[in-house]
Amino acid sequence: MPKLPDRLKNIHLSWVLLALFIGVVLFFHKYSDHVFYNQIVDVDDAGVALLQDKFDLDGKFRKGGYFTQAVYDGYNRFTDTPKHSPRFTGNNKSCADCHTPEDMAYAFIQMDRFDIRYSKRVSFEEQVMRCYVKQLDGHVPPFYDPALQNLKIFARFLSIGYGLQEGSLRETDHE
Amino acid sequence: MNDRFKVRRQLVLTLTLCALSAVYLVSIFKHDERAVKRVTEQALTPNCQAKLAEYELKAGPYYISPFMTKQNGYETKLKGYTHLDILSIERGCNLVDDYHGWHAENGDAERWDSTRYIRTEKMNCVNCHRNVGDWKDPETGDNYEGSMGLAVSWTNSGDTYDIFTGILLMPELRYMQCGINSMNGFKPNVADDILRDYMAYIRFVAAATGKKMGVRYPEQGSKSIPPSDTLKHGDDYSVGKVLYNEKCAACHGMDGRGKRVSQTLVYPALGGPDSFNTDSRNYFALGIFAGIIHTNMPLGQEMTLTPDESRAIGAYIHTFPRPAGDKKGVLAALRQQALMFTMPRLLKILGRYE
Repeated sequence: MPKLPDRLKNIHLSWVLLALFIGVVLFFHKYSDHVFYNQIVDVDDAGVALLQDKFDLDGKFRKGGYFTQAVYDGYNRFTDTPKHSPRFTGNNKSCADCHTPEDMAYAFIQMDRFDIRYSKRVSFEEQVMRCYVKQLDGHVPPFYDPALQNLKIFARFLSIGYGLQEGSLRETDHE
Repeated sequence: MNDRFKVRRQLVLTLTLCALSAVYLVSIFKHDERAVKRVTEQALTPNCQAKLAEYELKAGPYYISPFMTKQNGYETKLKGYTHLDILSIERGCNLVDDYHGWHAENGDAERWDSTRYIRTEKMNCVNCHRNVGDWKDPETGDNYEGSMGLAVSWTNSGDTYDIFTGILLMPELRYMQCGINSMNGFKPNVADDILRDYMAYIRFVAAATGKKMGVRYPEQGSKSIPPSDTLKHGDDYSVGKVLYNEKCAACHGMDGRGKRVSQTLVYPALGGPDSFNTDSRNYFALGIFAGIIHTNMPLGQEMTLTPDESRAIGAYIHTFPRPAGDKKGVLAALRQQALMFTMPRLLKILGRYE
């Protein structure tokens, strides 16, 4: 076994373990999929067109605020789920492959109703969890995870943008 | 390995398997019990009967709110409710109006055993959220300003930034805060039926009263009274004491411990072990508490107190000893318990309650 240099011998083992511990925590934090709210989340041009030009996100809520950042993050997860929610996505599909922003807005204000497919009342959050598992072939995100909450906040903002109320129906939902 | 050790090992293994099986069976039993409760009808409280009859909640493919039809002059079709949705809404309404199950035929079992989540016997959601969280002027149909309507906590303030917690606060978490602090209790799981039913009710009220998503309505939150709205003579709690004894003590008691008049009529506690704790917004934000006093009290003469009087009464009520909030720590909890035990007795001996 090679001998350690003298200056390394003086480092106490507990410091090494502490450094290792911090390293492991930072490593998992980096890949834990959490958004750092002190960083501005970028969205693509289509996102700017939808959220800013069409629905005036910065005007209705504070620019750079928690809510705005969460909406941006929700938009990113909606349009490119494998990239932004890699922990819970098992294939290359995204939410936007099946749903439009309008679908999300209406789903948000129409959910929490009895669903005959599952014979129970299903909330928006539960439906998103089911999408992650089934359509995206992944895993169930925890309830408080941004992979779920920010999608919900994105849908909430869209429902505000479309001027909906609780239980609003689309034109096609009417008889 | 000797035989004695073998027997002991087998015994431990058998007992462990039995214990695990028992836990599994209990969980299956509880799960089935909940499934039965979900489809069981509940007796509605009188307030909920009136509220849900006013909004004509019934099963069908569409829901048309008679209240909104009258307000707007035209009908708006909304997504309808199934029988199970209605049961959930009814349970939610009962929870808001009667958290303790005083009106229930089967005790608090009808409310998902909600009393296991609170440590007080004299606090209810309706004490602050008047008229089952939807308090309106009967003539105009407009909700009173600062009446803390529950529907708008879903449509507007839900998921937005909360100054006190520093997070995007979900309505579910806000409910938990009320349970923990304002009712001095514990939080249910976010997927618990108690929370889902509560959400079903407030969302139904939002649909019935036509609240648009993201729109600020006057009934949202309490009408906070900052010092700038007063004459700036200071929040004198000795003035508050005089006013409290004159206007509040008849119902809430001289020591603020509330009163139980009958099985179903209880005046909420403002101090003592049955009251909200020191982590409640009612306690640490005097402007909010003064706003609640101004909007809701005295019963039958609401909005007659001036901002100065409301703040003075609030400042006096804040001097009552009350349970420490969970975030305050063990020492604060001990101090508050000691104060709650000694102060009323001491003041009684000194004749301050006469």
